[in-house]
Amino acid sequence: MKLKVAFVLVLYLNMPSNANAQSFIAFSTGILKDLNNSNNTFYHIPLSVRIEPFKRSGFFIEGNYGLPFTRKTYAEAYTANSALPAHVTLQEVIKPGILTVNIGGEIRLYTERKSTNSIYLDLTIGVSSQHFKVSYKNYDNRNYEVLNPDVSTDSSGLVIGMAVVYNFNKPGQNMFLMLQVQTPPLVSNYQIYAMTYKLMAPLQLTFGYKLFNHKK
Amino acid sequence: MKYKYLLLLICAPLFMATECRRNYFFPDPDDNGLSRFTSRGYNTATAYINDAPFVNIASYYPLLQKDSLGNSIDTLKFSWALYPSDLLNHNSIYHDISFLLPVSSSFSKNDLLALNGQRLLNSTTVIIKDSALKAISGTATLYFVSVTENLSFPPQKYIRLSGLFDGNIGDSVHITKGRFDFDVNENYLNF
Repeated sequence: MKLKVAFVLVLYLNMPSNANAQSFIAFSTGILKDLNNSNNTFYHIPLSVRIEPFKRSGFFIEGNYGLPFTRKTYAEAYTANSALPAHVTLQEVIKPGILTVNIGGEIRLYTERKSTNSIYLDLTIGVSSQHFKVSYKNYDNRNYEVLNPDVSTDSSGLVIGMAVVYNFNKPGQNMFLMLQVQTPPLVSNYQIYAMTYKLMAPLQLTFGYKLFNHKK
Repeated sequence: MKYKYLLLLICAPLFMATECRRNYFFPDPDDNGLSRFTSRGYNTATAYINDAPFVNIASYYPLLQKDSLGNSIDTLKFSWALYPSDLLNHNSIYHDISFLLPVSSSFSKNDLLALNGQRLLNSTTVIIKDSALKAISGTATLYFVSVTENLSFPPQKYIRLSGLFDGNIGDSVHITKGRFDFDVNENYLNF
């Protein structure tokens, strides 16, 4: 019990005092890898915007959009039409999309004495929308049927995430490096139909810049 | 009308005899009213008959049985109930669909599994019942894309049949884009 009280006290004392002294808006980009499709994973270039509207609050609002790389695999298609080959192999192309809006708080873990560079732990909760557009290249869908086909889907749901942020706090160098991981969206309309892809759990490494609001 | 109910009463136990586990319908985005073509034991069969979508319905399972004619050639009968996807469309009601395959009298489960990957081009008799419950027959292509033994629900053993079909009955009835995906309990096979 004492340990729990001490932990809460540390968090309470740390959050406001360790947050940035000014409000800011930050932009970052890097690489995003999906952790939930282990065999045939998805990659994106993430574009992130983070706004910390209040001084020293540690509270922020964040938007993440992923520019997708398409995933190419193969699918089998068959026909009963006697004039055509019984079986063909098609290229399946999946274009994944991801957009997430989070709110969160940050906790300072460590600050270097000389450089004042710092490490923060961020905790987030938000809503993620994931879209998968499936197409089959050169698919003659009048004559052939893809066996166990993937279909396009749209899903949205609650997500939680965590990030470790390294801030370069030297004057004129308001840059940061962030490693962020997030759960797949919690969706209510669970699909029993199995497909070759699952909802994404993004792990992203981004490098960004903070623009501080110096108004007093 | 009495005849219709009597026929249903006679046919129901036959359809039930092949006992399947579940029935799922996942719509095909490319073919309105039809299910996707799957090989997962969803116990769904759909086809267009004269461009109208027809589907088997839950609790009507496929019948897979060997009918003996008393000589060296028997008939493997593979059939299921079909209903219009659009139940309000009373103009195009066909009831059951059956495929009759000539097989040897020694036809066994292993011979059924050997149909895996075989496309029987225009060599299968297809029979459907029209709105007056009159059986009309023609020729079909039946493609057993996948025939495998499914042992994932012990102690039960299933034969998983998945494939495509199309056919013509005279010049008036055209069956197109047919697909089926069934798990058939081995205990109820009569061969």
